Formats: sequence, C-alpha cells, structure tokens
Amino acid sequence: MKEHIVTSYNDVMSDLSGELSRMGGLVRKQLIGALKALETRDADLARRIRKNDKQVDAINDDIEERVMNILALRQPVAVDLRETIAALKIARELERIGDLARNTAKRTKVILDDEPIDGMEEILKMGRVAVKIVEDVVAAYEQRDVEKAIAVWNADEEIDEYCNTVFTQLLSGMMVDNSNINACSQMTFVSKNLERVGDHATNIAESIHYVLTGEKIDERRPKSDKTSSTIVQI
Amino acid sequence: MVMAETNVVRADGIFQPVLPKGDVVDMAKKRREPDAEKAKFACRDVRVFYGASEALHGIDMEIANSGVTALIGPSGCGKSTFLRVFNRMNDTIPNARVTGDILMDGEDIYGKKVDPVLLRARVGMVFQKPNPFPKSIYDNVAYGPRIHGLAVSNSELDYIVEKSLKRAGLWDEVKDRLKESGTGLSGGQQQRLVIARAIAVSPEVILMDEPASALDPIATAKLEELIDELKEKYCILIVTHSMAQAARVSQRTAFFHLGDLVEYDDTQSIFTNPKDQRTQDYITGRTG
Repeated sequence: MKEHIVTSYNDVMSDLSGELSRMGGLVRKQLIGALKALETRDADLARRIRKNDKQVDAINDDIEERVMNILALRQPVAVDLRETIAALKIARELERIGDLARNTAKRTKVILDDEPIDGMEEILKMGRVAVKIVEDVVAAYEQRDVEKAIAVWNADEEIDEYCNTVFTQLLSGMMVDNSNINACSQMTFVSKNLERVGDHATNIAESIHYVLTGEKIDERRPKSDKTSSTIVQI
Repeated sequence: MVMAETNVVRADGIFQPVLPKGDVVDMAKKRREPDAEKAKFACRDVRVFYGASEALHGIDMEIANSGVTALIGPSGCGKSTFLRVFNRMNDTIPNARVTGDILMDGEDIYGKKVDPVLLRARVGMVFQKPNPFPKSIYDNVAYGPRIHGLAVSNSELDYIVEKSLKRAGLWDEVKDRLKESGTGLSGGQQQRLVIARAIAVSPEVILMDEPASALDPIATAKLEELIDELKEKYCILIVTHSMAQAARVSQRTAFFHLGDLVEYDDTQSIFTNPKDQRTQDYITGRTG
C-alpha cells in the first residue's frame, strides 16, 4: 500500500500495528506457558503466567489510548478507519485470550495435589491446536494475509471437536472415580477456556478480513461446540 | 409566471393577483417539490473544453432530486468545472465549450430555448468567498425576487425576505438591522446571506463551490446545519476540499480525478470502503 503523504500519520499507524503484533506475541507466549505449566505441573510457572497477564492488559490500555488519539487527531477514513477500529477490537480479543491463559494457569495450581487424570493428553493436544490458531491469526494480521485469516476462521471447528471429546472423557472420569472430581471439573473449565481461545481467534480473523477486504465474512461462523447439550449415560 | 393559475387580469387590464391569507404568496410552495425517486439531473457523456484542452472526459452521472451530493477530488480534477455545468456558468468563460447531455427533470438545459438567466434562478449558486452585493441586507435578498418579478407587493417582498433569511438561519441575527449593508456582516453571516439570496428566488437546486473554506469552525457548523435542513427541499451539490465536510453533509459522494469520474457511491461506502484505489489514496491522504 502507498504511504501517507504525512509521514507522522504513517508512523502512528505502523506503531499501532506493531504494538498489536507485540501483544499477539505476548499472548501466544502466555498461552504456551499456561499449557506447559499444566503439562509439567509447574506451580512456579503457573504463578508467573498469572502475574504476566498484567503486561497484556497494559498493552491493551496502550492500544486503546493510541486508537483514541488516532480518531481524535487524524480522523481516519477508508482502510485507515478499518485498521484503527480493528486494532481496538483485535486488542480486546487478545486481552480475553490472555485472561483465558491466566485462568488456565490458576486452575493448574488447584489440581497440583490431585492424581493425573485421563483426558489430559487430549486437553494438551487441544491446547496445541489453540496455540497454532493464535499463531496463525497473529501471522495473518502481521502479513495482511486474508487467506490465512479465512483458514483460521475455518480451523475453529477442530477445537470445538476436541472440546466435545474432552468434555465427555472428563464426565466419564468423574463418574468412574469420584476422587477425580476436583481435577476433572477444573479441566472442564480449562477445555472450555481453550475452546473460547478458538472463538476469540475466529473473531480476530473476522476483523482482519474486514480490514483487508472492506467486507464482512458473510457465512455463519462455524460452531461445533456441543458441550452444552452433552449427556453421559450412567 | 409563477401565479398563472390563480391570478386574473381584470377587464381594465390591471393585473390582479389572488393572494392567500396574510396577503402574501409562499413562493417555495409554487416550486416543483422534489420527488426522491427521480433524478434531478441526468448527465450523459459530458465533456468540457477550454479551447482545445478537454477538462472533463465524458461524465455519466445522475444527481438525486433531493439531498446533498458532494464532489471531491484534487485541485484541477474538474469538479468545479462540472459543478458549473449545471447552471451554465461555463458559458461565461471565453473558449469554454460543453458537449454531451445535461437533462434537468428530463429537459436539456443547454437547449436553444433555455434562457441561462432563468436557469440560474432555478439553479442557485454559492461561492467560496461570500459575495453579498454592496447593498443592504434586505436588498441583497430582495434582489432576485425583484428582477424575476416574483413579488407583486412590498408586503409580499417583505415576506419572501423574512422567510428566506429564516430558512438560511440568519433572521434572528439581522432582523433589527435589515437596512445595514450586507458587506458589514461576518464571513459566516455573509455566506448565509448569500444562501438566503439564492433561496429567495425559490430555486430547485443549490450549487455550492467550497462554501465553508473561508469560514471558522463555528460558522462552518452553522452552514452545515443549514445544508442539513435545506437538503430535504433542495437538490444540493457541494464541491469541497474537506473530506470530513463531505462525509458530514452529503449522502452521495463523487470522486473526480484528472477529468474523470472515478467513483460515485453512497458517502458512507466511499469513506469506509472505497472500491477504487485512486479514491482510497486520495481520501486517506496517500501519495497519488
């Protein structure tokens, strides 16, 4: 894309997207850390992840302020307007992903004294898919790649499928041995967290699509999470 | 002319106007009310030449019957030239030549039978720099109705002046000094006086060529508020260099570039998702 005639306008827009990339990188790191803490039962790492969430929130605040300034001082239109509004929306989605990583770390701490449960492997696989989706959507934003954004938008289904499987496993685990109830119930929340990560990444993909094309993705967003209607027969 | 249906000529030859209550005629009621469904202007392959040089390269465009259409584009793109097509102001420029069809309500405004002076009463114009006549505020507004014979009595003329000044949002500020010179008003007031003068002859169209470029933000806001009110009853075309102003006041925006109409769409679409790269580069301030 051509440069703005006013150089400082270019600078503020490029600083905004740079800040958003930085936020995307940090959120990805937080999510990987939260899953690592879960896998290795690392209380110290889980604590650090919870603490680091403040950094994510700080970048979100910074982006909000930058967007306010751009709207007030530059009155952006067309692609600049779409970029500016999308930055605000994407930052909000990333901030929520950061919250989910923090919440996952928090729940990890609660299950440290419990025995390992069945289904953990599936949760970690699901986590790796969630991390990949976050990485891809951040890359789609950085590379202004609409095809990549659409691919993320479609990939959310995979996470939803994992979520359904894990949920059934966890319910069964609780029924088989009630000493698993603490860990399994915490893990249902973790799997739901990861499913929500996918949803937020999907929202980011929609924003990227709008920035790049000026059009909204017109199909219905894929939704395959069936946990709300899942019943395990006793 | 306007009162042909109701006026009578008495047997002794004296023109006897039939006036409604209040001894006045509301000229605005006599004008053709806008039909939102129809286009006011239809332009087909409009070209304007200055000597051998072609300034506009075949414009096809329809202008809505009411509402505001903004013409934007870099200096020299032909937007002001195009604006002047609609009231034949290009006729006054030596060597200027207009070709193509410009139909107003289906009639060719460049037809042989069309009197440009009468056309300009139907298609008023407001310029960048306010240009009140060096006359009183009253006479500025009364000038058009007088020369076009639109008022048959002083009271009717008073009524037209008052109504026009009210419509232009200036009445309260000048009602106690109508005899003072129009040139003594502030820039914003002068611009609204000029609009009152244009309205006084009950035009159907108002052309505005950068009407706010010499005004401060408050006067600009008042002018934009006025445009917003007038848009229901008039077809308004505005040339502006202010993207923000085009976005604020217009419902349709046309982007001109190097004598071509590049893009013409709802204002909202132009400013959120322009289809042509040249439009995007221009409105976002990128190097063209």
